Amino acid sequence: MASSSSSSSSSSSSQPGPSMRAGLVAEIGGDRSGSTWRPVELLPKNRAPGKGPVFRRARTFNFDDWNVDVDRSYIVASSNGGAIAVSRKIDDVVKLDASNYKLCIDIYSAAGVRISSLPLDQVNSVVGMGWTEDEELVAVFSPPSILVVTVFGEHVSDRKLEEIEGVRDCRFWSHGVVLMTLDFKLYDIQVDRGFVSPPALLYGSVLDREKLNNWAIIDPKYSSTRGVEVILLQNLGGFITIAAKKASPVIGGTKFSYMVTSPFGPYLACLAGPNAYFGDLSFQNLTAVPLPAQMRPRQIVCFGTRPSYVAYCSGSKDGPSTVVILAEGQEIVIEYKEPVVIASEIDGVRVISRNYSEFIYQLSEPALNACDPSRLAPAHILVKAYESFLLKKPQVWSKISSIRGDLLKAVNDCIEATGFEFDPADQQFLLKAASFGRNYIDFGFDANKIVEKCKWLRILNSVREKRVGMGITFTQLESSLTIQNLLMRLCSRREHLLAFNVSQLCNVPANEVLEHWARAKILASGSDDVADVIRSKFSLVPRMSYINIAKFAQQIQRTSLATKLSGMEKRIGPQVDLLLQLDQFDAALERAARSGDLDAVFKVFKTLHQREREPPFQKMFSLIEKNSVEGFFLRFCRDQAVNPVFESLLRTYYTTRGKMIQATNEETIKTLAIKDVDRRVEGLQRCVAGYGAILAEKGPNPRVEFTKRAMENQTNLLLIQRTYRNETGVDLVGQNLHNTLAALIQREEMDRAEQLRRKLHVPDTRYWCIVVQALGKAKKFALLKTFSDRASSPIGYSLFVEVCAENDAPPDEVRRYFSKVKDESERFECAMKLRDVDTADAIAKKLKDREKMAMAQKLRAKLNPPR
Amino acid sequence: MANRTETPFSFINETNKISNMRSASLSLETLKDMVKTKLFTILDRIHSQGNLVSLGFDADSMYVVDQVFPKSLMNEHGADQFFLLEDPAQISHRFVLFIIKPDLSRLEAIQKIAHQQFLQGNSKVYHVVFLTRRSSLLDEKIAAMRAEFKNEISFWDLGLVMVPVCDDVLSMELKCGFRELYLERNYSVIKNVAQSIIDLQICYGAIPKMAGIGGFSRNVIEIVKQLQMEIDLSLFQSRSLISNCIIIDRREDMTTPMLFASTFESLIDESIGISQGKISVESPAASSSSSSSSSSSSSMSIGGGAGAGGTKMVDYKLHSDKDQIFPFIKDLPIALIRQAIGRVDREIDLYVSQVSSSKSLQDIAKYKDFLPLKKQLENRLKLYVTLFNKLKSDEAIELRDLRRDFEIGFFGNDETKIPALDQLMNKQFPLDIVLRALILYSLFQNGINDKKYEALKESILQNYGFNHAFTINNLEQLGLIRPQGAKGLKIADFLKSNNLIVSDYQTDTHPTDVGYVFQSLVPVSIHIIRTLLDSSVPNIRQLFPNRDVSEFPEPLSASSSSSAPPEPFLVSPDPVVMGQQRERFTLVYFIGGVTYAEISALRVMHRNDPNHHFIIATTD
Repeated sequence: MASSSSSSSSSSSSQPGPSMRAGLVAEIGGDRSGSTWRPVELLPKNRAPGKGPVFRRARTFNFDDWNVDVDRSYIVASSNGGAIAVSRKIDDVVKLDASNYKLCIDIYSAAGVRISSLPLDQVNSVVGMGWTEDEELVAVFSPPSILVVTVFGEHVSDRKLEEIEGVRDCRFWSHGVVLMTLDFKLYDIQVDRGFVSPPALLYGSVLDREKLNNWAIIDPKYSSTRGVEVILLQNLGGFITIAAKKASPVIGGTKFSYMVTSPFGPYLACLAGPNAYFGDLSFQNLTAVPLPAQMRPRQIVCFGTRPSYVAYCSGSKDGPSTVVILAEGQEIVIEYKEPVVIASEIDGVRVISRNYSEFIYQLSEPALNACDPSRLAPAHILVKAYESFLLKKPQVWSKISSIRGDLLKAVNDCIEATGFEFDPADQQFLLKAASFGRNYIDFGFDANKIVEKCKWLRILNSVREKRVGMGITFTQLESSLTIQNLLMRLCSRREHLLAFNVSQLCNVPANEVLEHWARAKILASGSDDVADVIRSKFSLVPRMSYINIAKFAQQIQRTSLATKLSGMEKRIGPQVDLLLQLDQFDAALERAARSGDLDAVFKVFKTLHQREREPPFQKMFSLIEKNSVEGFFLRFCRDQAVNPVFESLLRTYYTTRGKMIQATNEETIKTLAIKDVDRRVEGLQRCVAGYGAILAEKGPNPRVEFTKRAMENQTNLLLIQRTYRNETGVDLVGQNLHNTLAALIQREEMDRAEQLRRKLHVPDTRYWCIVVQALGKAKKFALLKTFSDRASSPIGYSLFVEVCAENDAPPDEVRRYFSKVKDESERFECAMKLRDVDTADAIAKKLKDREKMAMAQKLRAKLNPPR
Repeated sequence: MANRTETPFSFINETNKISNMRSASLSLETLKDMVKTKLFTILDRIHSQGNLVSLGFDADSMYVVDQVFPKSLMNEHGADQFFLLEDPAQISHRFVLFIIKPDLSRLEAIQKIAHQQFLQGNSKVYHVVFLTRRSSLLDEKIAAMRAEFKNEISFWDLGLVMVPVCDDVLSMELKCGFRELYLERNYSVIKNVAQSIIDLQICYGAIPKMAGIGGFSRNVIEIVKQLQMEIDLSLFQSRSLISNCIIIDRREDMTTPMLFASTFESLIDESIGISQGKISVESPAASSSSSSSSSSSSSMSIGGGAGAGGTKMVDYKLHSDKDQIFPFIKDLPIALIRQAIGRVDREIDLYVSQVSSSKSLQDIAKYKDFLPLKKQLENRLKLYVTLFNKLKSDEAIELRDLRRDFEIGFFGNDETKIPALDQLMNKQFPLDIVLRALILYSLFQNGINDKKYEALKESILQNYGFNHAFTINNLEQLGLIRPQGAKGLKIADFLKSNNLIVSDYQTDTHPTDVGYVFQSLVPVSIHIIRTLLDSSVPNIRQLFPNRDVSEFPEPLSASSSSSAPPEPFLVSPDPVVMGQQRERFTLVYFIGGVTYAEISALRVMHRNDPNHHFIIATTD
């Protein structure tokens, strides 16, 4: 194994090494004053070129107001350069002088700036602390309780675990914690963005205290069952795996004393005797590394996304510490003059001491090409060429010429390398070198790469500012954190403006950022006017929804604010849902009706119906009336008619709201459709009485009077038709008056027809028309003659002529009626109908009517077509 | 671009060339394709394992299913058996797919069928596809059915809003849209119209300018604005193909639906009735056999009268893709039909004689290929000859003359026409004709004299039934008939002042003026559209001072600081460039229904400006 040792001088500001230069994050925006690229220290120092991973150290933050006794505190850092939680360990000193120690959990940014402090109850002792992936701190206490807070110490959840008797130990995973109880039962509690699940029993007691050495858990992301799994190490050797409520013991083998699993992959690291082991979760082919006796690890972590990446730190209390990085067979030993704790990251190890934090991270191949002079890579030559250019040295062209064929790769490598620099000046230098190199590239270079890289660097540099204090690397942002999660972290740090700008820069929807901001704004303000402030900002983002904010206001009992906010919502469905939840039925119905959204209106009706359950549905009906949504209600009742619950709802509405006209109309229409004539008559009589009552109560109404009269006549007609059916067996029920009269006349029931005519006030002209047509159709021309002889026809005789002509009456009959037609125009029409062209022509000539003459000629031509 | 191949028949080529949308670069087929893909994905999922599907649909959906999903295509995707939900046949396959309009009663019918199948021991898998967006009222029922049938039932939404009825007409196919909106005041129709405009924008890009005439059009524009704020505008097709949208509230022109049009399609609808794109007529084969048995099969007897022998009624689908003749004649006035049909007949004869007399092998092969088309053309020609003869019958002409006489009489306030109308009722003329005449009189004369009004109402009740009291009440409520003195715009004055009366229309020339559709006047709706499109006035409200006009986007106010000159309504910022021509598309949306006459008039407007195409959309 290659071994390297580096004596740390990082705490000494008098020796500004490369790591010191890289750590000046506070100088964001500052430009390099010099014009040379200073070589960086690469680890391990005596590495074989091109073999094994290469690391770098970077001082990420100097701690100014961080006053933490690293050795005497629980220090837990959130991944991806996140916040650090610190709690004083309760040792004998604390116990003896308890009154002077105010127990609390302090939350610091990665830059060592205290963000919040949570005072703890004296009776509580911290069993463990851990961070979720969403940067929520989970603290487990004894007596059993769990506290979930944001970095600002806002309580997401604080609950006593009454179902658990006592907590012995706990292990954290990305979205939860596994508790080991005093009686060795295992419980899993999930924590996901404000939701804390009740403890779920993973397994009952499996080991007693004597047999258990230590234990570890496997994150569901990397477990075979996709659920949290537990590994219990037995002091007799072997271990027990608990997965999906089943225990699988592996008896014998190595006696592991300690185990840790990787949060970034299916890997683990263990300690057993004088050796450290690491490998993947299958426990197959574990690599053993002997540990020097003086370097017993105090802390061991798996980092990175490879199985053989382990770091541990050792050292005596209050004394110097050593951090050892084991990576693919290489060992890097870094010594510190003070106690440190380490935290794993996806691309390296975070080292936290009393005065600063440092990051030891692996460089990618392109970054190495740019930084490692031993490689003589084109990227490094390009850097050197640019340096020569700045120093106005003559070697520029020779250097560029030497890498001409690889210039594109060199430029790309330089751009890539910027992501591994913490100092903006170094980033700028590399970007300028890349930009310099691209001038010599003829084609094939994508200029967007530089623009894109600058965008990411701007984001990284902004969040690394001490004020924000997030020590995120490019690799973490790209492959672990993602922009969406970064936005959420910024929001939870109340860096809403920065989050908004980042979202705009990355073209990511800012909806969640604004929602988070609005929540914070609502909590900070006691007035409903905050709604207007929220609206002014929400209007900046298209299709911004107010629903979640309104729901939040409702949750915190700010009902009037919730109503105001819901009124600002543009989408109808969610708005109506929320208003219904707020019992704002009037607003819900008004909004739904205004939008014309049938579904939303129906939802309001249904909710109101469910609330009131029983008639008279006072609230529902008054709102329908108030919002003029009877049309919708009509459709609602019609669509729901098959459901017996809604069958009589419309009738109930009309009757209870005094809408007697509509109620009676509805009833009448239903009655008219009844097949049974007796029931129909009875129903109609009731309806007529109903109309009568309306007129008596409300005074004259022409439309009601008209309908009443029509229904009275309909009833009388039905009664006559029924009597006629009963007497003769001829069924005329359902026929209209015209057809009934015609049928009676055709059956020569002239008296009955006359009686019916009088009863229903049929005028003479209409009656004569009906009689003439009926008798003509029945070809009862003799009867027609008798009828016509009875009195002078009030309709003239042209209809007689027409009917006779249509029904092939004897010519004498036709002529007789024709002779009675006096008006010449009518006579002309009759002649045309009779196709008597000569007479028609004569009349037309007599009338000197050219149009009529033309008509007659046309008919003549039609009747006698030319051969 | 709708590519239509050149055919040997000049009438087809001419139709393709002058047709409103056939020659356009925008096709309404895109709308069909969207839902087709959805349905065929479901069918293919079943069919991919070699399963055949029994396909059931309700009677109301039959037309839509027929229009959007041709049977042949359904067969290709595994649909093997077709049945009506109301009349379920022996369901032969294990997989059953129902295409229905979302409705509680239809779901109950499906549940009943599933129960019967279960009782008969048949294990089936059901897929229920809702044609249109379903209401949340069905959620409970769906949940209950899911709980009952577990994995054996699944529900799908096609989200169809508009059905392309023909090349240039889209319809929401609402059964009672007019009644619901205007009488019952159920404004969900407005939302549906707005939603359909959004859907069209998703397909054809954002519509830069919209104008609405009438209160409901204003509401539609407001909801469109609202919906555009709610949805992700990136869903819209990036290129704006439709440059303008004009929304007409039917209340703004109730005269046009009451008038008697003279175009072939209108007359077919008036006399035979086009229902769901179909007509039901005597089999022309039977009717023409007696009259043309001696003549050759392709030479038609025009004016020979419908045969008396055939009484078998056959359904014919108008607007079929395969029909090459109807698009040529549908918009022509009846006076030109004889000539047009004669031309088709002659062209077929000429082609047959040319090809059959040729001795070249190529021509013989061509003739062989032509035979199916020839048969198809001849069959259709027979149908249109039958229809034409029916429309030219003495009775039909008499009825047309009578109605025209009434229209002119009512327009001129001829007092003798009211007793004449009463006479028509006494003769039991169809009620719809009588009511339309009565409405026209009321609209033209701004109400009916009280005494006459009461007498006419009484006459309707006594001649057609007392239950029509509700019909009269509804018409009164809509303001379509009213006693004199009631408030309302006198249509006659409007027609006169806007020169919409066509007094000397020549019926025997090819129509170039939109007034040809009624031969008496220009439809008010078409006048509004024409005025909007022809105008160079930036603020369209100035054009119609007495009407409720809305615009989107709102015109810039006079005090606006913008230095850009105000634009007229017809501005196409992104006209579709087609070769050297610049095409422009205007969507004309009729809330409350459109008449065939208005459609024909818009097609004439297209013929007068061949680069300006009209997409016609309607609710009913």
